[in-house]
Parts: sequence; C-alpha cells; structure tokens
Amino acid sequence: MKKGQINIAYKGRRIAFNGQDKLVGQASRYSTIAYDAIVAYAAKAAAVPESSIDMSMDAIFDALNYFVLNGHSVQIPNLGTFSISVRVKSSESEAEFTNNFERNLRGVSIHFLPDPELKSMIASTAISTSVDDEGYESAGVIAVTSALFGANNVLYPMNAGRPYELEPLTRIVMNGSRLSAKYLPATALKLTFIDSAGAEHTSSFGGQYISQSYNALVVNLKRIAENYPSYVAIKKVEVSDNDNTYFSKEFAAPVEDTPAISAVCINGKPLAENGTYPFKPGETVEIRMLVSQSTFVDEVKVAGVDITPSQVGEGKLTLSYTPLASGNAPISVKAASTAANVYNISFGEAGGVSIVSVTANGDPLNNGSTTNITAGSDYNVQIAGAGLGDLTAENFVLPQGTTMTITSQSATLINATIGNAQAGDFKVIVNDEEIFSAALVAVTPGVSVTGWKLGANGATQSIATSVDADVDTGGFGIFLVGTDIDELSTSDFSGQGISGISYTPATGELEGIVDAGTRTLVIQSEGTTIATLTIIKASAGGDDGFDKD
Amino acid sequence: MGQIKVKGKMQRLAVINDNRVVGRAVRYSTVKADELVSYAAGSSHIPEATLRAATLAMKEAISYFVLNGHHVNLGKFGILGIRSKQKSATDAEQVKADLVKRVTIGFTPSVEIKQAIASMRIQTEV
Repeated sequence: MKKGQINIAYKGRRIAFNGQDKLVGQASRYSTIAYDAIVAYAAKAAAVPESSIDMSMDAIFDALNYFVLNGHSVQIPNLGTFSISVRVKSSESEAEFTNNFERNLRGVSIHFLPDPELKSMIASTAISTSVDDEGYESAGVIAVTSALFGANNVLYPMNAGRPYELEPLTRIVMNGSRLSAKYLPATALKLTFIDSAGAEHTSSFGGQYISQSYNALVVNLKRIAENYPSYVAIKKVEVSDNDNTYFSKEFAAPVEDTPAISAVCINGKPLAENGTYPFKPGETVEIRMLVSQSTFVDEVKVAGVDITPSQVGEGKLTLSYTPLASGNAPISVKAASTAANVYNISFGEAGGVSIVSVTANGDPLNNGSTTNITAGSDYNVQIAGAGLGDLTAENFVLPQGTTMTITSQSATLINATIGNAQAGDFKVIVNDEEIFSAALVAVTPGVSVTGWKLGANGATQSIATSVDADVDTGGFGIFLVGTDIDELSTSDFSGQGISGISYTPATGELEGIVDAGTRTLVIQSEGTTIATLTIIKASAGGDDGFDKD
Repeated sequence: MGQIKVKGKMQRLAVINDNRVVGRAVRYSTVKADELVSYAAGSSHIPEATLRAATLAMKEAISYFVLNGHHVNLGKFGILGIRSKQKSATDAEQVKADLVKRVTIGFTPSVEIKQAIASMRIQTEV
C-alpha cells in the first residue's frame, strides 16, 4: 500500500492561559470522504461487490453499536478497537461519588484504538508542515463578519450566589450573530458598561469586568470582587486599534430587569388589575401573586407600606395586608436593580362604601365584636368611613325595638342617634354584603340618684339643688330620690367637712353634720361617683331652714 | 437503550497529591473480531466469509484515506480522522516536522450514536 502523507498546518493564535501569541499546529483535513464513496472505493479495490460491503458494514456497525453501548470493548477486524469511556470529576469519598455522580459526570465518549498494523502504518506516514500565511502575518486585521446585535441591551444580574463566569455577554454575541476575528490584538475590543448606579466603565480585555477567548470571539463577564455592581449592562462594543475602528455598536438604553406581576389572588379569588376587592374594617387579606424572576425580588410594597413576603420562590409571593381605607392600592415589587413595577388594585365595596370606625357615646363599637349597652338608653352614634353619603336607613339593621335617626351625613361621616337601644345585632348591609356587624348586649342600669326631698312625703328637689343645714348645729337630714338607692350604704357617702353620716337604705334617709360654709357630699356606687350634693351651713344668725319633718 | 456501569475507586492523584475517588467505565469484555463477525453473521444472515472480505476491503480503503489526511465517514457510526499533537512555535522558521510529537487516529461519533449515548443508562458502583 502506498505510504500516506499528512500535513500539519501552523497558524498564529493567542494562547489563552498565558496571553502569548504563538504558532499552533493542527493536522490539515483535506476532505471528509462520504460513506458511499468509501464503500465504492473498497468494492473496487478488493473486488468485493459493493452491495455485499454495504450490507456487511451495516451488520458490523449494528453489532458494534450494541456491544459498545453496553460496556464492551469491540474489535473491528483489521481496523482497531472501539470502547466506551467516561469522564467523571473525582470525588473525596465514595458516598460523594455515588450521590453526586450526575453532577460530576463530564461526558461519555467512544474511544478508538487503532489496530497494531494500522499503528505501524501511521508510524510510517510522512509528515510535512506548513505555516498559514493568513495567521501570524495578519495579526491585527479584524474581519467583522456580521454585526447584528439586538437593538436593546439587557441588564444582567450578577448575584453573589451565582457563578463568577456569566453567560449574558456570550448570549449577546451569539444571539445576533458572531463578531469574528482572525486575529485580535489584546486591546482591540473595548466594552463600555453601565452599572446599576448608572456609572460608565470602559474596559479593554483584561479589565475588571471581563475575560475573553479568541476565535469567534466569546466574551465572558466576570464578577471579580463581591463589591462590584450587582447589575451591569453593555452600552457600547468597539473593536479598534490605533489607526482604525473596525466595528462600533452603541446600544439603546438598557431594559430594566424588573419582575412583572402576572396574576394576583386575594383570599384565593383571582383579581384583575384595576379590579376592586370588598373588605371589612380590620380584616387582613392574603394576597398571592405570580412574579417573574422572583429570585431577584428584594422589596414589596402595598399602598406604600413595606411588606415582607412570607414566601418567595418559584415566582410566587404570599403577602398579608390589612387595608386601612378603601381606594387604590398599588402593589409594587422591586427587583434588586431599579424602579418598581406597579399593579393597581382597589379595596372597598363594589359601591365604594367602607366603614372604618363606629362609636356609641364615644365608646368604640367594633366590627365583629360584642358591645354592652344600657337597655332602653339613647346613644349618639358616629360612623366614619368612605362612600357613606350613599347610605340610607335601609342599610342599617337594628335590634328589635331600637330606632335610628340620622342627624347629619357626609361621604365620610354619619352622625346618628340610636334610640331605646336593645340587645341584638347592629349591622350595616350594602348590596347584600354585610360590611359591619356588632352584637349589642343589654345590661341592667346601675344605681342613680336624681334628687332629694325633706320629708318622706315632701316635694322632690333636683340633685343639683343645694341643701341648707342647721345654722347652729350643722345637722341635716333628707330622703334621697333615684333608682335602686337601697343598694347604697353609709360608706358610699363622703365629703370634706361632713361628719356623722348615717344612711338607711330601706327608706333612703340620709343624716349628717357639716361644718360652716358650702360643702360637697360625694355619692358613690361600687367605687364610682354617681352624683354630688351641695350642703350649705349658713353662719350664726342666718336662716335656720332645716326641718326634715 | 444501552447500559454501562461506572466504578469509583479510591486512588492517589499525583496532580493534587491526595487520595480521590476516580470513576471509570467498567469494561465487561473485549469482543474479538471473530466474535463480532460471528455475531453480525448470526443476526443478519450474511455469510461470515462475506463479512470478513467486506471488513478487510473497508480497512484498506479507510486506512488509505485517513493516512492521507482525509476524514472518513463510517455511515451511522461516526467519523475516523487523523489527530496530531505537536509543540507550538514562536516564529515560522521554527516550524518543522520535529515539533510533531504524536499522530494517531481519532473517532468522532455520529449524531445517532451521540443520541444513543445521551439516553444510555449509567449505573454507579464503588
């Protein structure tokens, strides 16, 4: 057989790991001989029918395929041996090897070992060398084959948790098409970045942000230190030397990598953007939303209030929010980079009515709670909220026997009187939706002293009327008038300059002695002052008006 | 779908001067040329003599082209071609055949074989 001859062609190339320019050799490939051509050649050379060779090789390759892919090493007659080989990253322990095998698997390939006869033929093959003139000689000549980068640049996150070497720029290069260079001087490619703070950085290869590899020019962004900007964007790509600019491309303003809110559910019900959710005062709603790129969400606000998402991951956010009043509630979800994305929803009843607070005689009447009232009493009620101007008496549900009169009304405040308040539910209903409900519980009225009289059968005086004591002794004696006054006892009466108090619950008779001057008798029930009575002892010579008989 | 086994074995790695578990594909057996021809003959009804003649003819053709710098397509199996390993040079005058350290024949699997490899089951054993 004729002795073979191969050529090793040398071309100028940059060695990536040391940055030196060298001539690197590679076996020249003249052509790839097609399968049909090789079968035809073999048939002619060996006088074996072409169909026999084709059939035979088909059967041989089937068998080869079967055995090699099942872990056997297979010898092809006269040609060589094929076997499977596996590249796996080494592990520290057997357990790690087994558990992390898929992660550490670098590749499976088929290895070919030539037959000894073939090996000896290789050894006797003549080798020639050549230098590619277009290689080293053309250093510095840059061929920009195409320059079809996208119109807008994109901000790429550089998170601490991510690998240092990022794909983004590689993606840009490959997305449009490649910027290829036969040979490129070290400083030829200049990239201008803008960081998350808007500052510009121009960097040649070897700069702080990028690393490079040549031939089809793949550029990798690198984050070298932790304190580098979280986000960078490429503003301009330029390929130039001292004399010429071979390629220059400036990108439009960066597109912010802002998470978009795609779907919102409130208490499990889907809510469209600009939709309205009816809520009750004091109610806490659960908001769930789908957010793109949730990995980078670092701030969530609802109506300007910071919310801590209880669950962040896989694009889902769950928030608890207590609306304070009806109206628009913009939800903003902010990425680590720039401005927030806003999703508007409204809180409030469909008709726009919401109740924020209700008071009865100044005391709060809370939604969903139980409040004591004095049965039969009248209360001044104030209802504060929004959209209240539309409410009428028909919107209020009152306990049986209770009346209600609206004395003044505006969009935000209703002043009303509940008359003869009774036990039962107090509700506000709008469009069949109960927006407020409080249970009223009647309590027994306590002791009250409304007046007094001199004799058991005398005329009743108002409690505000003062009592005259004896001008000489200071003694006084009256009968109290009021409700449940038999529950009082002597110890419930006190006053400065008043002594010798004696009270008879069964009759309401009260006696005592006061010092000269105007004195105040305090009447208490269960520790609470329920009335005061003024007693006057005139100076000597004055009127002796006291006579309890 | 093929299935291979990868065995992990603790051994000293000189590069890092430490013991590490290194994985290698388990080779069950070497199917000799005669066995392969017999198997192919049995599964295809092609006479063994024809298979032997065909492989010999193919070997001659393949080696002729490969050893003259061509790549040869083996149909659905892959491509055989020459591979070389040589030193780099700093200038054109240094470039000589002496720089070539090794010449061998390398195999690149076809797309079909690559897909078969990708779907292959791999078991581990330590």
